[in-house]
Amino acid sequence: MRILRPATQFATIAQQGEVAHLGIWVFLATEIMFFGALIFTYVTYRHLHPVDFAAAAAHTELWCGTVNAVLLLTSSLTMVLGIDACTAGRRRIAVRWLAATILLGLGFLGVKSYEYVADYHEQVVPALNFIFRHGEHPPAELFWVFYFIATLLHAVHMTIGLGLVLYMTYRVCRGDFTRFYRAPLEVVGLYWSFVDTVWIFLFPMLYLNGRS
Amino acid sequence: MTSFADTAALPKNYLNERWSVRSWLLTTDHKRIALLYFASITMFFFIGGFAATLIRLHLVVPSGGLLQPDTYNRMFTMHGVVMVWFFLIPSIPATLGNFLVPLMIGARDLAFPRINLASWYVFNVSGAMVLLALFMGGIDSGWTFYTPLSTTYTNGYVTLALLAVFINGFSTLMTALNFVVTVHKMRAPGMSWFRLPLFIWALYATSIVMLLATPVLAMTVLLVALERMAGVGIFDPALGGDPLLFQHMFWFYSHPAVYIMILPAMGVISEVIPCFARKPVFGYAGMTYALMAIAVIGFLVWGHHMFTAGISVFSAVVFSLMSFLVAVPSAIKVFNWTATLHKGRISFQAPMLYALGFIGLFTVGGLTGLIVATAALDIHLQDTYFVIAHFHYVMVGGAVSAFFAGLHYWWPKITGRLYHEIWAQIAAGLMFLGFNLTFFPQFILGYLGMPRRYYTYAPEWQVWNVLSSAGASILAVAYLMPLFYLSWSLFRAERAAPNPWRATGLEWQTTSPPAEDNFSRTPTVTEGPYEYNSSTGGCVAQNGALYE
Amino acid sequence: MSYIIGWFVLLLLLGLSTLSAFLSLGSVAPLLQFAIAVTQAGLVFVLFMRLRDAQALPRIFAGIGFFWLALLFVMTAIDYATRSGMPQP
Repeated sequence: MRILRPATQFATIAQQGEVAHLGIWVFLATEIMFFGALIFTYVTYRHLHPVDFAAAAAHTELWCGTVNAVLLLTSSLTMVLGIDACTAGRRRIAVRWLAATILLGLGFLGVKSYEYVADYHEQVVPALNFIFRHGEHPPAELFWVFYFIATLLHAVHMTIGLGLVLYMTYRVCRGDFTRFYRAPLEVVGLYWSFVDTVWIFLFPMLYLNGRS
Repeated sequence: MTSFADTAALPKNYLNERWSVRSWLLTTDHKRIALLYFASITMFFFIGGFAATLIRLHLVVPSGGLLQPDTYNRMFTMHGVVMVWFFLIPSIPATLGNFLVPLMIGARDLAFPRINLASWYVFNVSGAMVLLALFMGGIDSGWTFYTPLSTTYTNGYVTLALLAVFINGFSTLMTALNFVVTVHKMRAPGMSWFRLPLFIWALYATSIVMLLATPVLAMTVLLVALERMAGVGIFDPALGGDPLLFQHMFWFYSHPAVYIMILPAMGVISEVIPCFARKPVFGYAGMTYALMAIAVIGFLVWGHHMFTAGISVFSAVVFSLMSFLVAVPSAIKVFNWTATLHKGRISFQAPMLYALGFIGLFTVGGLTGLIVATAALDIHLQDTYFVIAHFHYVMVGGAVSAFFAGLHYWWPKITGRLYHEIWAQIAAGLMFLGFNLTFFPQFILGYLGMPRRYYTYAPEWQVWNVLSSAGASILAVAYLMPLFYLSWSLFRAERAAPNPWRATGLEWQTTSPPAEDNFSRTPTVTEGPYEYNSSTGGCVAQNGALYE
Repeated sequence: MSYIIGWFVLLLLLGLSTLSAFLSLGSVAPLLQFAIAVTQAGLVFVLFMRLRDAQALPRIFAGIGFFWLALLFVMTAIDYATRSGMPQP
């Protein structure tokens, strides 16, 4: 059994855990502002050009967006079940849940990649091969600009998250975490669920417009 | 007088414990990181100052001539970009803040020492990028990067500069995150919130502002950079974009940014004045509420930068009202500092001179801020030298004065040396004189209608411009002097005692310079932060130590 | 167990949101979808991100971003909503 010592600036390991927990929430507040600013810009333009945005949004691949939403929501579940298992000392089960999280995340990126290729063939990629359809005005391209910025930024965060979950899975395997201290795992779990939350907002914004 | 050679014989402190370059570049000690930052921001201060020197030299003559028009634009852009993001925003928090936060609350280090070191490297990467942009040809859009000039019409290295600003934002966020978590979770026993020094409160408020505002700037500059790189009109009307939306988003950050610059300065002043007046700060609780109020209300005023840009009249009135409101807590602070001085046992060492200068200059800046906050007046004053004078009074007369006040006040603690008092007092006086001579004429110029960011001006305004440039030369001397006498003090000056100013803070209850882990034993706080006695001149430190 | 129920509710809300896009709800649709998204996010925050069991401080920081965004939205909206629209020359 390893003896866990807190870092020199902390008095107890519990303090170290609390600090990590508060730290990630403070960081997530900044991420909320970051994505929120993007969503703010999008919402403003959608309000200014409702018809064009609706017409453009109707060409998004709805099934891709929906499947991805399901994958991510499920991954939040598997992540938190993994953390719980680790807390209970059930290391093997924890690893399985974390592996499931990684698979779901990879599935998301897979669907997204497929979708990007499909978008390219649909010729809706601004700066690359965007063409206006009959009756579409310039703001339609603006919709697609936001679509790509938002989903790319989200995908970058997802990739970082996947790397972190992978690293945590390795550390769980190695037996680093116990019910007394598992702060890094929980921190990564929070980050992961946050990335899920971003998609919760992006999905209706980008995919559910202009369908009726 | 002791020499540098004696240093090795001193008890172990954070400076002489380790000597290698690696121990500096890979340090996680908040005190060393503070010094690393100090080196970086000093370099940027002189780069930004160099740009200002060229501007003021150029403006001595109405028809210009020293600089080409394009170069002139690049100079004021360089001055703004460097001074805002690479000097003013990091100056007090990343140097004095990094050094003092753990010491003042009785902690061994910040919550995340490695993130602290990373923030310095990120800062330097962004600094290298912006210098690259500036020296390869520069940017001429002004530090405000208004669209569509910055996105479509300018030919400078805007994308690189914007990415530099984006990365610089991460450095700020890392520092702010560290401070917030540290203050919440790592205070020594007995250090309750209302026993915290106001410098800590100020940095806490600053950090909250940094955390909430910087990400919005990050998104804004990212969108502009993407627009430039991909040629897609996010802020281009031709595609349905709105240039005013850029301004809303930019100023949503950039107005709170000025509070990021001034709140730490106010914190420094709140430390210096009680010490050199030997009196507790008047209205401590009010000062803390005022700090938080400035931080919050400061987010609601950004539209006052856009009065003439095309926002609705109703919205202008709302922003104008909010701008008036934010002046109230600032004024409360000025009243409280003044009340602290009243019947105090005042001495006029350099830190106090800078602090007194701050009160006057910040007040002028603040009052003229009310003038430009009045929408009807701003219609005439927007984009004139009046605005330039206003913000230099608060930023330079205020924040830079406070930075020098703090630098001198904590110099003995940071370096273990006493600076030469007479030279410091001369420099402080020269700075006050030079500053006013530089910037007061600019109020008059603005009133007379001289526009900002123009490389020529009407001949009848020359006398004021010449006065301003003359003042700038005095100011330059005043800024260079500390470089000499402070450096000299590192090698030749007397060694400092732990508490040369007989101050009350926890940072003064440990050695000068402090040991690597700050305190030999975690202190216990039994007193409030400013238990000075103006009748005897003595005080009780926060850990209970008595000074007669 | 509560996590599984929560997950199920999330999927249900997702289905509702997607369905609402196909009904002719006009301008109510985006508002409804936003409300559903907020509910889903709230569920993720409280349940999966365990704000339910957290101390006051993380909860405050969890909410402060949304509150601050609201300031950005509202104060900008005041501008856009009250512009009188200058006629073109």
